[in-house]
Amino acid sequence: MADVYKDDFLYVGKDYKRRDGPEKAAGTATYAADITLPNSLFAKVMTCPWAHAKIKKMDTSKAEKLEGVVDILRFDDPRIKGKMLNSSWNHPFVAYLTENVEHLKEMLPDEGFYDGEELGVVILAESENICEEAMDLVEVEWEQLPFILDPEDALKDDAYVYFPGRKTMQGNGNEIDGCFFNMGDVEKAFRESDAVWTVPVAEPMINWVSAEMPTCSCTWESENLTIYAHSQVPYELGLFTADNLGIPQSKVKVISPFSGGTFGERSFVQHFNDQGIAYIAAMLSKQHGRPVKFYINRADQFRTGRSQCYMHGEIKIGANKDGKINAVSIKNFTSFQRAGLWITGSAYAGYDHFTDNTCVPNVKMEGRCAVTSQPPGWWFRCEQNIGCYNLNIVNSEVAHKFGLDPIDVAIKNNGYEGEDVDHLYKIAAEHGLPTTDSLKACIATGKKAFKWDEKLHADGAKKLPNGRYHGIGFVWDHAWNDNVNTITVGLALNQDGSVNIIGQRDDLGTNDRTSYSQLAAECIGIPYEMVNYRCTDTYLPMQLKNPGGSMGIISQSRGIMRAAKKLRAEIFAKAESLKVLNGIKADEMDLKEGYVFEAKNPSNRIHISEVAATCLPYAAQPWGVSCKGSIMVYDTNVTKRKWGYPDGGTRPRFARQCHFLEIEVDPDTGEIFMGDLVTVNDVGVVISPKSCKGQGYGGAMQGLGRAYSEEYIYDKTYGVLLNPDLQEYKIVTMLDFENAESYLEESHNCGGEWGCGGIGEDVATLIPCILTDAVRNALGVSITEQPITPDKILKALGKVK
Amino acid sequence: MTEKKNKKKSLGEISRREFLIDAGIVLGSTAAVGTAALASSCGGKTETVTSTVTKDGPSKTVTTTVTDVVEKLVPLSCTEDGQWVIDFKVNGKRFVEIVEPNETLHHLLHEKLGFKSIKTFCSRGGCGSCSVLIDGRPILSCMTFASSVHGKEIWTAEGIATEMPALIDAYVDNECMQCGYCTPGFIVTAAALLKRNSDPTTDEIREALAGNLCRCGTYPVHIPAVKEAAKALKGGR
Repeated sequence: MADVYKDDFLYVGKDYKRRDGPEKAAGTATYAADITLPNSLFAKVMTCPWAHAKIKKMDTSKAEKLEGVVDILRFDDPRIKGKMLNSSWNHPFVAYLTENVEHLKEMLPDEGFYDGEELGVVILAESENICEEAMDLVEVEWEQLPFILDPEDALKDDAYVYFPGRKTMQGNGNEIDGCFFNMGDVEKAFRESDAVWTVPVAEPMINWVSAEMPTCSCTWESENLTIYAHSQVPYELGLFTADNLGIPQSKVKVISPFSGGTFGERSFVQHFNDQGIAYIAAMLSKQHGRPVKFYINRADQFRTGRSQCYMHGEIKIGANKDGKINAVSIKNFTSFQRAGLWITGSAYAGYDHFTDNTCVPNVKMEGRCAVTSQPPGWWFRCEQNIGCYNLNIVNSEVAHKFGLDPIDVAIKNNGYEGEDVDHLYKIAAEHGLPTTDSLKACIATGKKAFKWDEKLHADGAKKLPNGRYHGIGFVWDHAWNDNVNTITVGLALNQDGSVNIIGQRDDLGTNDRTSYSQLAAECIGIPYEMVNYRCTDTYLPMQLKNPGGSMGIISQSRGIMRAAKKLRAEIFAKAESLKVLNGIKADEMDLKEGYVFEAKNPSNRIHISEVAATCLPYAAQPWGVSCKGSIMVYDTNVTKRKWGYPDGGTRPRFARQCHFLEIEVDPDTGEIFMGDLVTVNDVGVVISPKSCKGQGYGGAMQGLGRAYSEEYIYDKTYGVLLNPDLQEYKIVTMLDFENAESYLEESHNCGGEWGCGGIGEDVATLIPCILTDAVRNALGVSITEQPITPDKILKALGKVK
Repeated sequence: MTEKKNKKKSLGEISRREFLIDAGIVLGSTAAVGTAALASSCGGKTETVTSTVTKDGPSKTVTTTVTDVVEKLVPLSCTEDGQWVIDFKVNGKRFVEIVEPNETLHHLLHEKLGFKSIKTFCSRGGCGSCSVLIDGRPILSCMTFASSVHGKEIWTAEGIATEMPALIDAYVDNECMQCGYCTPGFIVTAAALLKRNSDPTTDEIREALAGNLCRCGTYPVHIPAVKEAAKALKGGR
């Protein structure tokens, strides 16, 4: 890790005007959903109206006769039959699961395993309205089949088996995957603890609810395909689509313009909403010689899934009166469903926040995943949600059980691999990394900002004049400070000395255009204004980390730094060959603020443009690896975790985050009113302060919704989703918070260049746990099943059954 | 002009061509698909109007020449196909369009006229991302029939950016956008608030923007942004 302690930044750490701000505010920024290509046709897919049903008979004749219908693609059409969502490519997670499961799924099947699964028929028509009208004219005779909504029910011996004969992990045929882990001796530790108790836990199924819905437009120029897609992984989308079409990937260009929210979910290329719509749109576009736009509406976006899976279970805790946690045994059940691949997205991450972040020496987990008739889950800020949840449910339980401050419990149990923080930071020291106790630093900042000590009181002890109860909550976990990825980034030097960052990446809203330019300016040694980054399409296959939402800055910063070193070397070599600067050698030069100069004598200098201009004699060839005389450097950066996971073992996390929330609870209605919210994140090094804080409070807003209002609600009789819209599925609004402040810590210990790391996803993932702690403090009752809705509060208070 | 000019026809009796003739509009050539535009401002004597005509099917753009146009509305009329002919302004420019009776204002503005600031987030009046100003009030375009805006003056975020740059500056300075998809809807609602209240309180801002959803969670910074914009606007910006 280079320059870990560098802090004399010229451009990093400063706020610049957000480069994509004006066009986003004025509405001139274009998203895939905004793009309707001239002369375009429109496509819409049928969805399964039942929890589990098979098409016995389908009559599309009336739809075919409707004016404006151009084509009807049925499940039994030779053009689609046999096509698989996963194409023939192995995704890393397919490989992970292949031992136990068959991962392929037909692109347009005749059987739906959950309400909303895409199947049956695709209508191609002159307008969206005609698509809808034609779909209503398709007559289907359904064979309704048994269904199960609860994964625990699906594991019972007499349960209906969805895929008989399929190899499974254990038990009946529904158990597709699981997570089994044991460290230490939990039973012995339970016997030796001051108290042992069990709490129920549950996390609802939630939806990513990106503002922009899944959509793509496909068009052909001769044999070349262009796809405009709302995708977080455009390169993979192109790869899979080319494979399914049977054409070289080089003939597919994917353009991901601005994206209306991705949050990890738009990286699920094997889902129908990605690969399905892209392949079918491309295929039909080719056949009909017109562009095709495929769209998914909001109700179907909800019903087709792509959300955190439903989980419930229990945690057994053994702890001492001083707050020391001796043992944790986690048992949970998670629903499972197939898309292009089988994925649960959660169960395997239920215990590792204890092993990675605490000194709890005895940890056991039994996570069982079973097929149910709920849609497939995928990462939505994020797969570590259950890990955060389990850690903080236990932290809160122990604190309130023994009347302790939850902050003290956190500090007492902070550590790594069952040992305390000294063990953690000894590892850091061995690798030349800082040894700052990140949790203590974050807590110190947060306690002061929140006025924690002033607000702290015994559980249920503070009733306000308005009749409500006051409570405060605390959560903590590691920062998002690890990363495994391969990126390729280019830096192209222009004649005037300005530099283009070259790399394809979906715009995630994290202010990449500004922050990457700051990084590159700092690394190269030229003014910020001389660097520009505009996302490219996939025709130039230089990929920044995709999906880049999870700690993407770690890979991107290291890649940019490595490319910058090469670019600087090229510039110095060219300057030496020009015999400028009194003929000094390249290794005697430096570059700062746009000037190449003699390191020992900074007054002996020339502007970078004087070097750059000699590299590029003809404007017609501004850059390119084959362009003689130009400078273009490229670098592939493989960041590897130094330890364990996913190859086995654990991960030391040197940086932490913690958050604080104040609430009032109405004991008569069960309604929660938010008060002060303070987030503190150790991000290693701050690149763009405003954007960084924006990820802090933004993630918190998202997390609050998951804590107290967001959940899928199914009709248990028919197994269909009852709230597939934004009227009944409640995300937070301007009225759902009182005051939110975000603070940043800089330990230089988050894995990226100078030790920078991620923020945003980690806050959204951790915050949902905070309400349990705050409600416990307000009312003295333990509610460990999310979301904490008024009915659960009233039930806990014994006011309703 | 024909004798039909003075004869009031009932719904469905007037053909599209008859309407254009009645209105003094001479049909021009069919051009490539595109967005509608008004070549000159409404005050001129002669205008070229490009109207996008769609019944479900490939949209066609008809370029027409309007002679001796005076500052008065083309009357609200209905074609024999049941389509409505409406005359309205967007961001200060005049449009004459033929719309389906069930066509939403969102479809008209976004799909046919190319105002991309008007987003589809929920499609059911629950998110505020499709908001436009109609006669100064924020309206959900996905829940509004296009035919209802005859004679109305509409402002979108694109137009507000030109008219109230201080609001855009405040939104950018406070980084009120992340993915940015919902931001134009907030701009429209905030502009409506500032037009009726030059010094809004925190609670008034919350209340005004409560119907706009943002999944990125940018809510906290909209409050200082609107206050800064209010201050700048009072200062004459």
